[in-house]
Amino acid sequence: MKRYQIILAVLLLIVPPAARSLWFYQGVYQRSQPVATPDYASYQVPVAPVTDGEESSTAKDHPVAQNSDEKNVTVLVDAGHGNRFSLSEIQPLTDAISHAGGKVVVANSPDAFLLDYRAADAYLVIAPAVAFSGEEIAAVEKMVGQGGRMVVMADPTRNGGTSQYSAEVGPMNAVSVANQLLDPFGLVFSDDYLYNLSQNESNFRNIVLTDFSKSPLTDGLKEVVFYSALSLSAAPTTLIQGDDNTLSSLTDQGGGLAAVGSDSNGRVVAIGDMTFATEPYNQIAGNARLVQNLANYLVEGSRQRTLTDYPYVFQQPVQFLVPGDIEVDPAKTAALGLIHASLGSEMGALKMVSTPEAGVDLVIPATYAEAQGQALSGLMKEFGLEYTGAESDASSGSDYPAMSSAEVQQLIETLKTASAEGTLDEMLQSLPSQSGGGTATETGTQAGGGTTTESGFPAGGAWLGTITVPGFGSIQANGNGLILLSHNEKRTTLALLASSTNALQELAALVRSGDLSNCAIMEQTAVCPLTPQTDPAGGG
Amino acid sequence: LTQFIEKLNKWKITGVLLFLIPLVIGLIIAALIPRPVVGVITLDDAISSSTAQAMINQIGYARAHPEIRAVVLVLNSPGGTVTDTEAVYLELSRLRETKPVVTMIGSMAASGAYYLTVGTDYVFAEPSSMVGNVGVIGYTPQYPIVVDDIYSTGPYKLWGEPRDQFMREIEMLKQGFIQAVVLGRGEALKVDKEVILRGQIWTGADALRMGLIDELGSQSQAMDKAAQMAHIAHYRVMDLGTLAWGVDTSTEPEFFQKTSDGVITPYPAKQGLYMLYIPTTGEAQ
Repeated sequence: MKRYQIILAVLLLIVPPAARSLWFYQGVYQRSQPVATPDYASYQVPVAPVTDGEESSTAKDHPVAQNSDEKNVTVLVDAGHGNRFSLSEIQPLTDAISHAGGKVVVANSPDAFLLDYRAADAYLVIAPAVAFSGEEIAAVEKMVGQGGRMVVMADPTRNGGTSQYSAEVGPMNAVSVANQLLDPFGLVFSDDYLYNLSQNESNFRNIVLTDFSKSPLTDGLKEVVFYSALSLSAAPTTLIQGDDNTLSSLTDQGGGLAAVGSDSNGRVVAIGDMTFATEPYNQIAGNARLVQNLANYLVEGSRQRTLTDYPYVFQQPVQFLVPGDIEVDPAKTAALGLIHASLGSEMGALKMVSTPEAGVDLVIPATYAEAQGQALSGLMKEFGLEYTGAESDASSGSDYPAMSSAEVQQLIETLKTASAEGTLDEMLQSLPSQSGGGTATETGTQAGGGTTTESGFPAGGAWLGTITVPGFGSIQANGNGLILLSHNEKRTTLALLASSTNALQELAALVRSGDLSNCAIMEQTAVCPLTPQTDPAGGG
Repeated sequence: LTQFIEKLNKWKITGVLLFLIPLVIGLIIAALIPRPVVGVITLDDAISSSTAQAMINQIGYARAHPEIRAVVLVLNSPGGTVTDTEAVYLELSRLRETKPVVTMIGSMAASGAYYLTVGTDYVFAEPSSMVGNVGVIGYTPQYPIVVDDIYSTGPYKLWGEPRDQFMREIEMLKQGFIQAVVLGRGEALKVDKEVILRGQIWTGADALRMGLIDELGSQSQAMDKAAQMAHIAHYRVMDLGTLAWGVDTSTEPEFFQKTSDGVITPYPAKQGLYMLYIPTTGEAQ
């Protein structure tokens, strides 16, 4: 076989596969770079910011309100507006309030709110979902106007839509409802959430806040973490704000967005988050400190109440001032009992003192004549009353003879549960000394040492002059009663004055009824028309 | 003459033997050379345990068969569970060591589906495809409580993990996701990680501008690109989905929740961690 024949045979063998190969395969695939995959093993679960020594996470390490045990501050927590939270969630905050000396009262309905707000010194509202009525908003404005404090907390996770709380709430967006309360104070929540993609606490919506304005609420804070927060689109004072990388979900823009702000007076605070006050997030960074500051802020409000807030005008235990030289006749006793009953069951036993004690608030029930006497004139100065005209008649005016001390207590206890003033006479008549035309002497004898009011000045006498009342001008003493309220650093004083003890009893009955609508009220003073005494010298 | 004829016949036979036999053998050998195949793996559902297993089977087949010179991944998926997504992603990575993989995004490659996308060598999308939604989502576990009739040996035996820990683990998984994007897209990526981590979903056109994909095009273009990368021509296309044997989906629970009247919702039926796009109406589930 010749050589060319062999070559030809080989070609015939190779060409078909080569041609097919070249037809299909034009090269060999080779990666230019190895396949890179994430180094999963190197990733670690982010760790929460640890509180440092100054920002210890335990409440006991934080400063609490001064003299916490002496405070008589009521913090009203709203739970009557479909609020999207449970009380157990905010227990760190309520515990802190209690620790700071505040009393936490929960209003479970709008009706309860309208009753309880008068007793409140501060109002805490979290994620409300049922609209506030005009009356409620006016009540809140009044409370804040009097120096009370309000904290409104919202949270984007509690804003709307269905949730585990949905069965209990109304259909409204919580931000809109919260803004109802905040709008009068220049504060407005945005319906957004804040986020930070570059620096956060384990998640973009967990924002780390380090920019604080100086205020009691931010005292001692270096860093707090809000686990989802709204921003404030309007705030007269920004207290806590995000950095440039903290953006609003509405605009994806940022830079100084406020997460906490207050009104211009510092009485209303809006916080765009509530999680910082819940477990376990209250243990992160300076959140526990913020919770404590918030509690202190709530209990340190100083609400100056007016007469329309009666009986919630006192901040301290209440005593009745009855100087020793003023005798207590049955009519005045009845008045004392009525007033005591009007203060509510929490006041405990009625305590009368002859001289004011420290650390208590005072009720002074007196006739005009007594008010001008030496024992009371000093205390009455602050009301600025000016008396002109007639003399007093110290001999009469009481419908009842003097009662024994036992009878006084019996009457008071009876009156504490009395609901209608019309029963007063019947109750008085039912007392042993009063029934069957008994006399004081007899009663005293029966009671074992009771005293009479034969000539005490001016036990029931009617003072018939005129009184100049600041803000009202001159009024006739006869037929008019005065209710006066004053606050000073030491105490709150409530004075009820009338021309006679009978008139005082009538005035007290009016107070007991809770209906002062017939009285002329100007802030701390009320002038109430009473039944004129046609025979002032002879009583009612 | 007779001798001449005999000589001629001898030469013919010899010629036949000399030329025909090698030719036949050559042709036989040529016939044994397989026509290159571009395999197509299609995901037209959420990434669940069954769909992931089916994909893994197909990827394994492609890796084991040399005639499959390239693979085109056709995606139309909102993503799925984290573990199933990662499982497919890692299998794709093995396949890519020997064969190019090109992705063709159909109507959507969101979240976990985009995770798979960045694990391929070249990405096509349609102009209106929905691309991105990078991130992780999950339901927080229940607060641990003690159940009267259940005894366990630890506080989280029943609940898995603390709620706080869950939140942090999601963040860790997110780190893996974004790292996969950065590694997968490489220098093609034209936006910062922060932009991607917003979780936004973009159209194919936007995704191209941002470097999340490589080209706008059709599935046939994706095939050609895969063939080009594999240096093959005149390929045939094989739907590897027909080879997804061994995956029994009949007993698998529904991936998505259904309403009482049978309507499928976009929300996963089971609690867990997801790389899933949920086109929510704002209602928490």
